[in-house]
Amino acid sequence: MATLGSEEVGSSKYDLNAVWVMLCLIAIGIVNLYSATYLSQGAEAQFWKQQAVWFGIGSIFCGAAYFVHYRVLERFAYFAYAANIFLLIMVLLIGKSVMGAKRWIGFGAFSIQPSEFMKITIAWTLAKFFHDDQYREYYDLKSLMIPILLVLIPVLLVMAQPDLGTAMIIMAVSVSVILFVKVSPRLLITIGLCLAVVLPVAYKFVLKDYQRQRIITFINPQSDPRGKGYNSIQSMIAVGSGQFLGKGYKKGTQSQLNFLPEHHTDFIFSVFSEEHGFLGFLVLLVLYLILLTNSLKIAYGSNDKFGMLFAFGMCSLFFWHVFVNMGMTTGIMPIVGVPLPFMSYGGSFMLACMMAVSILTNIANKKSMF
Amino acid sequence: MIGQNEQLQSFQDRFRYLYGILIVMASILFLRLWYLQILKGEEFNLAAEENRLKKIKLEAPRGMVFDRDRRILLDNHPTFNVVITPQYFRAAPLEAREATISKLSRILNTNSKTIMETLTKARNQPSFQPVAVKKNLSMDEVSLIEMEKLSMPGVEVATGIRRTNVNGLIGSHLLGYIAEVDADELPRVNKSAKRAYSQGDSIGKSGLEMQWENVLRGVDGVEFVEVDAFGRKKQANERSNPGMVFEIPSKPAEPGRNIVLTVDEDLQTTAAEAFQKDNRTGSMVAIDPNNGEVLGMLSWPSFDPAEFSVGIRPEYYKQLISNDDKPLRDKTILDHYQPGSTFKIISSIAGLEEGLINENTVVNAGWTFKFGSHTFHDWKVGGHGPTDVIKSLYRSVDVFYYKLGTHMEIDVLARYARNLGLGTRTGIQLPGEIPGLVPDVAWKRRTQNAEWYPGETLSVMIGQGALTATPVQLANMIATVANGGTIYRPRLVKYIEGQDGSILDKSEPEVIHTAKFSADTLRLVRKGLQLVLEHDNGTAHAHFVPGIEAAGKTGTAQVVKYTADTLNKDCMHMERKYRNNGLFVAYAPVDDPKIAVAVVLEHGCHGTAAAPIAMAVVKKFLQKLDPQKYSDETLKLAREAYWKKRAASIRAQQSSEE
Repeated sequence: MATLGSEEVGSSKYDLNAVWVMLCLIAIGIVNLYSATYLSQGAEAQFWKQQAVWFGIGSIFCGAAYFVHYRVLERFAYFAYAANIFLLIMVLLIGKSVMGAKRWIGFGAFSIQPSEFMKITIAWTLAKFFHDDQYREYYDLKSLMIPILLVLIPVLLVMAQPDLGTAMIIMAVSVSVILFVKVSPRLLITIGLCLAVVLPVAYKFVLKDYQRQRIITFINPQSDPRGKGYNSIQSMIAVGSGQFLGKGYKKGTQSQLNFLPEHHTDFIFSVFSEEHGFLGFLVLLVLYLILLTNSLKIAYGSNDKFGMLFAFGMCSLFFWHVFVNMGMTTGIMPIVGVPLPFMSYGGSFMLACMMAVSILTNIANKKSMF
Repeated sequence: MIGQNEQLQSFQDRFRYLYGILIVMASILFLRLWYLQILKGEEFNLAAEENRLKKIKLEAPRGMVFDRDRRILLDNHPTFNVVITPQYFRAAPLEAREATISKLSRILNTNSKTIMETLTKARNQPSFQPVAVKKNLSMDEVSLIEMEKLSMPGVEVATGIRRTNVNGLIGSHLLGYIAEVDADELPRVNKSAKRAYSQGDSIGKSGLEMQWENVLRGVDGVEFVEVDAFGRKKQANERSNPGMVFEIPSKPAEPGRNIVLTVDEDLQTTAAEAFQKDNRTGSMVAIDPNNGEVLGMLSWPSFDPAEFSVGIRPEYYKQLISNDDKPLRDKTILDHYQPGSTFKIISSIAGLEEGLINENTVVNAGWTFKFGSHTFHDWKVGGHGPTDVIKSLYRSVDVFYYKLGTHMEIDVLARYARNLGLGTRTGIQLPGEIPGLVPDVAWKRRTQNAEWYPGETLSVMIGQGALTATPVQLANMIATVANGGTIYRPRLVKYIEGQDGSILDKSEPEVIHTAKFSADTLRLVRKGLQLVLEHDNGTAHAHFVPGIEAAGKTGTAQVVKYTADTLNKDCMHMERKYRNNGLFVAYAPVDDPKIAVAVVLEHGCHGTAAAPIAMAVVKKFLQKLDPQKYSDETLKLAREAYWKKRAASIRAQQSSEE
């Protein structure tokens, strides 16, 4: 196909769609965050400002990163991977413990969450690995040994924090990329069979009690409506009660009166849907779909394997976040701590998502070395 | 080695699957949100409203109850409760909370543990809802708490409603009491209730409070408050966004309707005083013979109903329960007694109406009466000599009725008893009335599978045997004799009144049965009854009140069967519980009866002992009816005239004997 990157290669028309969508989402996100923490007291009430600050920081970083050709990134992939792994280890050693989980490392006034960056780093690393690897019709277990190792190290480190949601996203992004480069059907069947055996055992012996509870309450939230199923039920009530037009800005009773848990992070979508209804959801869904199709297009039009796989990795990063988050807040997926890109409060996550857009835009617009 | 371009191309082939996955996932989300927000939106909206809006009950006061002169019998008084609102209490630091509890326990004179337990018990209710720590505070406690309030976070004095029986003991059984509805009786109560009850609601448990629950009970108001997930009430100032509060108008409480009774408080007091003297046990029922209005209704000993509405003290309850005289029991409708000689009224009417006796029938009444192998005794050793029907009544001659009984069919006698209201409930609007018993052939066959012995009729003739009647039946019986044969359903409620004073429901006289008695019958029986009081040898002559033309009948009923030991023992020397019951029924004035009254004096030994209570009630009533004719002054003159005449007749008797 001679038309690779055919959309007017060399023309002055840059693909900045992802940036526009991102800016829209961030604007909606900060405005929504203001509402979500409107009646909160103390630090929480300032979250929307902090989010804006993170956006500022992100803009500087990602703006600067845009001027580096993504091929340069290719060279630093393993270095970035090593650095991120180092940070993950540091988290376990000197991290800040919040509510029984060690996820943050403090840097002066800021603290960052290295696991959020790992979501990008893993796609980056795998893109590099597969880029360097020879062409194969299918990958089998032997040829996948290194990638699996590359994935398992951060996944285990993140699970040790413990942060199941982030670990799952890292897995999901990695599996997406690996499946994309094609895995031999025999291996897939074997893995399928293994999972069928391992999962029940893992359920029984590996998962912590609260994690098991989450699965039980996902299957039947009414089993403990005031306890573990509470979050799921309250979130569904919030979303459903928004109806078509929503209750209006700052008027979502479920979130304003704290019936909704974690309404500034994992359940930010419920806040938004409660206040802006089905119509608001459609706006959000369309924006995310533009972002996702655009990133698929960028991946498709990439000049090289690294660019395509990295772009695809970023695409799957958004995909998993959006669908798992919306799925869990609307009760079709178990509650796992997966935030919604550009909407949920969280500096590191904001930064990571902005980086992802920056990388996508970079790949879209720098098809050849110059 | 395949070139990079070919490799990229093979990757590109996979993208259409990816778009496919994207479309599928987006569709799933679209459908899910459609389901939640459009299809089930209303339902979830309701759930969200239920989350944030908490109902606060505004307790409605119950209707008031007045006596026939519109004096308040049942009222609602404000009461002060000390409450702790967990929302504010928990917001205070630990030391402040501990200090609060210990301070409060000192003021209330309880220990901290009790207060903490009360709070713990309420931990599942929303934290804005105040928890009552102690109800019914004294004024001292109120002022101490008010003084210390600022240093006790979350503690407040709240007002409540307390049902008050204005005159304490005189109407406890009749008026009844209210108490919090029991958790386990809720389903049963709510099955028939017009408006459902919930835990903590008060409900009438006895007497009029129970019978007229639907009238007296108000409609609780409701107020909505917005609460957050922790049950904390949202204050207006916490929320600068006024559009947020979704106002639901509160509904004020509607008080219950008032009831004006036919009962006269003065008669209650008069009777209560008479019973209280000498610690007597029994009951009094007074009825207007012209329409069935109950003028007075008292059971003694009594209890303090106020104790029940604020949660009865265990020691008080134990005391009530262990008392042999059963203070909690309304003896006017829940207990039945052998009517004793008061039944001779019915026996004489039956005899006269059936033509078995007439004005001229004279029986030579000795001490004993042999019937078959059994010997019946008259109460008077030596007998009464020649006796006609009038004398049979005022001297209460047993043998006269034994003899009459030999000609009387029990079923005929039973018919007269029933026509005069015995053996069936009078239909008075009070819960739990019992029917008493009028035995007959069918009854005996049904219950004992045995034939009726003619000898048993003789016992019934003088009001003994299986025959029983409640005091309210006896009062209705004598009222029927007074009015010439009409049985009214006894009524307690004159009218029901709305809060605006409008009369909502006025009760009308209700005739249950009209018996046709011949004028002669009524004349003879009434004469006999009048002489019970007026004749020098009348059984109740000792309690004759000159100036009051009353008719009456004494009755004495055995509590236990006489044994050889007890037969000849003086009643007053027997153990109290073996003593006979004394009964007295009366009406007055004789020519135009306005009041009929029945008194049962448990273990009073003789009917004569019950007479003064009845006469006190009659006198009180007549004095109110016609203050001039029955003034103390007039009665005093009548008494003096009576004694003058009596002395003269005694002198004349003595001189003639000489």
